[in-house]
Amino acid sequence: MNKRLRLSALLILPLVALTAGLSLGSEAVSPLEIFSCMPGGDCTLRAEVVLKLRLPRVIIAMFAGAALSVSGAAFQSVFRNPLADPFITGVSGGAALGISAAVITDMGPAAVMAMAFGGSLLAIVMIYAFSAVRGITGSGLVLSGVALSFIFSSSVMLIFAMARSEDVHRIIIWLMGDLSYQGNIPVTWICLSILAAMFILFMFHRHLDIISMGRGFSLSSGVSDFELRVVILLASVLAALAVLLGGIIPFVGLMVPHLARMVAGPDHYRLVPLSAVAGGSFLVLADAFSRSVIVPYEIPAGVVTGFCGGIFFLLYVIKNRPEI
Amino acid sequence: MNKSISGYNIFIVIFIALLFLLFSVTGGSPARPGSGSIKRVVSLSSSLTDQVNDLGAADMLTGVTMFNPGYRGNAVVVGSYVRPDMERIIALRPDIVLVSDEDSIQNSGPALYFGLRFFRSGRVFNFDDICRGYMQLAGILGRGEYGEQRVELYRQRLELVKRPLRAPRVVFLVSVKPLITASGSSYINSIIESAGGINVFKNEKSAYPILGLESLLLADPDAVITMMEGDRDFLVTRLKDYSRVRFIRNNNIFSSGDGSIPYYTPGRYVEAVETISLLFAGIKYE
Repeated sequence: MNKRLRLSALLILPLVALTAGLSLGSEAVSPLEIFSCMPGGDCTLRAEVVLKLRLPRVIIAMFAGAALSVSGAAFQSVFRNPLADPFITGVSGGAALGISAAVITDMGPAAVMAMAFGGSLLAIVMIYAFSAVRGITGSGLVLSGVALSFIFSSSVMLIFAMARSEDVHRIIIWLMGDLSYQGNIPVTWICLSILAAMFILFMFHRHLDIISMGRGFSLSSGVSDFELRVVILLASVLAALAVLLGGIIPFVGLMVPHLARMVAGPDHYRLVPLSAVAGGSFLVLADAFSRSVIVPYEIPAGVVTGFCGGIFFLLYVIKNRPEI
Repeated sequence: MNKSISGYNIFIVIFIALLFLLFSVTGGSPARPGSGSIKRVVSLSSSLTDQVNDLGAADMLTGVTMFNPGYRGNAVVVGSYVRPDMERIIALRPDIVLVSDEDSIQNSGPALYFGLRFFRSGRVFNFDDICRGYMQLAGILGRGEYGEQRVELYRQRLELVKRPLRAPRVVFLVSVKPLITASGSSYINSIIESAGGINVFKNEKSAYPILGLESLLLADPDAVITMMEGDRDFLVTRLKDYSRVRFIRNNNIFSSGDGSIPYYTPGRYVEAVETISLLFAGIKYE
């Protein structure tokens, strides 16, 4: 694909997603109606809903999708594994355990989100400790993440077995990926943190290029264990921040980096920004679809991304059958 | 080959025959009015516990599930309505086990399997359905006449409820996180209509559909009623900026409380209608 075409796609995709995200929902509304809420205008109910409900949600979906996708791209390169995703280090399991514990103990909305983030951080700290103290890397780190996820998910199941049914319902909705902004998280700070983490990860694009060639090659090329750990830490923090914004949204961090790699190639200088734009746009579109497909019901966005991801991987497996 | 297939078929026939034998020995049966004297009752539904209580038969209860408002007896708690403890139920040697289709997760499966006699209350959609189930239970407990008197009393109370002159368009929220409303397939819709209101989401297929916040706001009802007081406070805080939405602008977000609505008994139904009609009287219009 030539450079100009790639650049136009990069600009058009988020615009299309933004338009769809603002227009689609329980009623189709023109995004231009927002202007009726300018000073002096006669702001309608529909415009108010677009401005105060859909716009924050679109922004949240954009940042969460971008964070998941960039995190997935980094993990796939670090572990040289096409099935690596942002939750490989047990971040989602930690968050699920945190939120489950908070919900059944009747904590307030802000404390619930703090517990979710705390759970994610716990997983990150444990994985980082395995890596730094015990010197576990590569497949060992992946297996440690899987083991942590099992421990966390078993703990969540234990909580489910003892919790009231309404609490279980609430947790499950969040676990399915819920972008319905409840006004209890500091969205601005989280989005700024995501931007900062993505930028720092982008600065490591040369390291990622080398790391993706294999650990032996990256060591001989001067990428230290510390730098590798920083990359893993940044990717994990991005995943944790995305979980805080929208719960556990599957497949975005697994599928979008694959697609981005098909367009941008393996060079992380292009792959990281394209993954961010494509991931954000994909999640905005998935969320718009989830809001508008069976009105007045709202399907969790994670269900839509799960369907898309599943179909994508089936096609991927069929297409690449000889190599797999 | 044919020989081995026929041997296999014989094995299946014997297996099925054994299963029949097992169920004929251990299978439970639904109870019928007047089908033997009942002294020991285990109730796996808070609403049915409340009905037994209301029929003046609380002393028959030997086992109940958790959360039973109004019941002050000493019956053993046999788990939650979602997960009853069958071992504990069997140990109580009940004459009858009460289960309900309305508590959707429940069914008579475990009672059937362990050969216990059971009463299964069907789904309820309105006051008449609730009264029908109540009278069946009264008959089984040998309190048919008393049950009839109670129902007549509740009917009279229901007729005395004051309905508003202008029927308000309302949304009833069972939960706000996630937003779950009650549609025409639930008895809560009947409570709203009995109190003189119109349920905005009456025509949804599911009894308790999960709504998007957008759908709630764009439906623009006259009032929103939450079941829990905390949910009302959450909505007031969360939605305060939507000044163009009628129920927010007019501060028409109310809480019914959870003392009567979750329990489908004739008495609680009437209490719920009285509560909702009082809330309707407080709705402000422009």
